[in-house]
Amino acid sequence: MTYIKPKFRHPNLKKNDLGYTIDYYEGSLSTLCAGCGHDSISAAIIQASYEMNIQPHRLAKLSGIGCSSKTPAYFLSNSHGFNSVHGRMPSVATGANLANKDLIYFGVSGDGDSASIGMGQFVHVVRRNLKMVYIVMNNGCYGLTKGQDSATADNGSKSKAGSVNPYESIDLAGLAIELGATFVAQSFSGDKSQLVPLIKAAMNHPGFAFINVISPCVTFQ
Amino acid sequence: VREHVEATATVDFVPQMKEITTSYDHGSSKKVTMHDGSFIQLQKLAKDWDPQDRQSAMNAMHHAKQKGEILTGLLYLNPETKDLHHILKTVAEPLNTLNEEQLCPGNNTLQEINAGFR
Repeated sequence: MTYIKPKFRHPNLKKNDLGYTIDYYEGSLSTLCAGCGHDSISAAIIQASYEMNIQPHRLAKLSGIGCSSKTPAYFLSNSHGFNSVHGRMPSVATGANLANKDLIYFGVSGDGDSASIGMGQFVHVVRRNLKMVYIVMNNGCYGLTKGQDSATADNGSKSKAGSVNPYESIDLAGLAIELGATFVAQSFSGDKSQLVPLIKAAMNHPGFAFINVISPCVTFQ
Repeated sequence: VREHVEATATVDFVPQMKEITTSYDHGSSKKVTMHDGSFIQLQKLAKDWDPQDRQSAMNAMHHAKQKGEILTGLLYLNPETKDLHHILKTVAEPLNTLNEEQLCPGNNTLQEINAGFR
């Protein structure tokens, strides 16, 4: 089945200071499960970029691998984008930022991408204080590979398959503070009144800005 | 051939669910139910929270974890931070706008720099 995102929008949509309506900041139609928290976060990013009067061509969105890392396709389709290797988004962001520091760098990652395979990259991009926004869409499981527990799943929580997680969970926000991050926030995907201002503040921060967003997984939680 | 065929995945149905939204005041706690019926307990930072106190942020996070809560809001902020370019002392212009002469000043300049270390 093919889905086509309708392009019709209300003709009286409000324009921001640049003359863009909010649909200019949208992306293609999401292929994530209906009700996924990641889509709520994408919507918050769109809202924040629109309200911040961001010129889309002045922003680069980067990601790794996972459900979370698919989301840059669903927002800011007029921006630069790089879907990198699993857990290696921070390296790509570092290289791009060193070459062109005039862009806004927006990294999107997941709990598997940042807390497991990309943990080494994550801790070093924090301590290097690369000027970027780093959002982790944290659902505590590997949605793309049938819902195994991720490293941020609570100790004792039960996966959809019924197994109980015997391991301690990694607290990414606490770790970021420990490593010297200078902007650390935490939110829930469905609380837009909190998440949108946090994203706007993160984009204004002069260093590494980390937001850990708890995001419900429709299928495996 | 069929003797070697093994099912490695099952076809499953993903029901259409609704987005979970919530809204709660600063300083209050909110229990949010997930799609499967499990729940998480969110605790929003108080309005008078001082995000520039790193030690308090770490203590508050430990405390919340012990209570089984997830602390939300701007936990820590240092607005006076210096980013990687400042640490590396790169030039003001983006490196990708520099020309070859600026990026590679030549052998004579390199010899001068090397001589400066001797």
